[in-house]
Amino acid sequence: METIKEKRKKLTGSKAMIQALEQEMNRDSNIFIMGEDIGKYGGIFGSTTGLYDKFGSDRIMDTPISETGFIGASVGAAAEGLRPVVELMFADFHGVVMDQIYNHIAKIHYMSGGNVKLPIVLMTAVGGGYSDAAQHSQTLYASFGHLPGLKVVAPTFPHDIKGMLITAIRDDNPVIFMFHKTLQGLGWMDQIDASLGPVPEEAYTIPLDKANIVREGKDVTIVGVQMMTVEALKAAEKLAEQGIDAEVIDLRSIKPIDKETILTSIAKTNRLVVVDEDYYSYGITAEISAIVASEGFKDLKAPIVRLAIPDVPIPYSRVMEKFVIPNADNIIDSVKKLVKI
Amino acid sequence: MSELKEIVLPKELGVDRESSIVLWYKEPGEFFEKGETLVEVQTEKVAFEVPAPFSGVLSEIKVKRGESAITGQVIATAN
Repeated sequence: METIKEKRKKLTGSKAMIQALEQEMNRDSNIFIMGEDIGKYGGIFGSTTGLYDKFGSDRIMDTPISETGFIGASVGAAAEGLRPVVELMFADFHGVVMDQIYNHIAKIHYMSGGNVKLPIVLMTAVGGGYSDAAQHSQTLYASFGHLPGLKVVAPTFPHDIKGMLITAIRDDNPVIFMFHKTLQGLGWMDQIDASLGPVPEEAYTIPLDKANIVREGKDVTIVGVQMMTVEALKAAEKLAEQGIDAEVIDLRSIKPIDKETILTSIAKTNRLVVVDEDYYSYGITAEISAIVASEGFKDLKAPIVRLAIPDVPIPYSRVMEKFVIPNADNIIDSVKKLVKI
Repeated sequence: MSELKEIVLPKELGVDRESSIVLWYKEPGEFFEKGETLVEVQTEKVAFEVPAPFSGVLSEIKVKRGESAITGQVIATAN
């Protein structure tokens, strides 16, 4: 399913998203985008910049501030044969539109006996680390991953952002496409190296159910997603200087989760650290730990380590926010204890 | 080899305005046409695409992604 083309250019996460949307909209006139400030403004986290001028107001539709209304409208549009891409400005705002998401988008295919397909992509910005306080800093990966009927992806690097967004658009099933604000490479946010990377110019697809080993190692497996993958890679570099060889898995897909890649890695390393920018309880760290405890127990030489945001609202204070979001130092400390067991 | 020319942050962005570099569309050694977008910058208010003032080959990037510059400052050289 993965098709990779050769000519590459360095793009930010934001530019990779825009390129995916533009190429797909040129390919299929049934695709259109709806959301708040996604028109002339180009999306507050740069997901649609420039597309309004290229495609006009019929295909790039600014909506009133009613997630219930426009995400509900995407259900009707998709049922009638269009292919809507809708942006929920912050994942944190999903509360007002949860009926549309989990009773309609996630279940209509099932409730109609497979007769009604809903090829909807719901793009949503996630993550903290920039003092946007408790109601604008959550990732909520697990809240979406919990619901049957949805594919949920959260790519990290520009290359995966473009490829997975194209796959999501071409999929006849609804896909929740989470993009991390810090990984968009925007001028007004912290510009980190991971938000810029080589992206093939032509359209290509990356599967929505495969994790990616972004660093090979033999002593410990660290599983992360989005910014936690970035922190895990930083930690792995420093651990290597101390003679500890960490393998880093970028989860990419929250649901379906790629058990194979994780279990195969643990069979080699025998140790596991899971790092999540979502809450601790009932989250990705719990899910992966449960999978490994059930299906990979014989391969474990030490208890699994779970690093996640403690069960508190994410603080506005930059100091306190940094304290609750796991980082490379936390990962290093955990791994150093773990390899001694 | 022709002489190196300077590329400055354009005055359209306002006098003494500080902008941060968001993305260089060209890497050193790459050819660009006059008018083509060379670099995207972010001011306090807007993102702005800086068009190439002439055609040439990018030589050196003086102000890298994530760094900032003020209008009139040399951000790259080309020939």
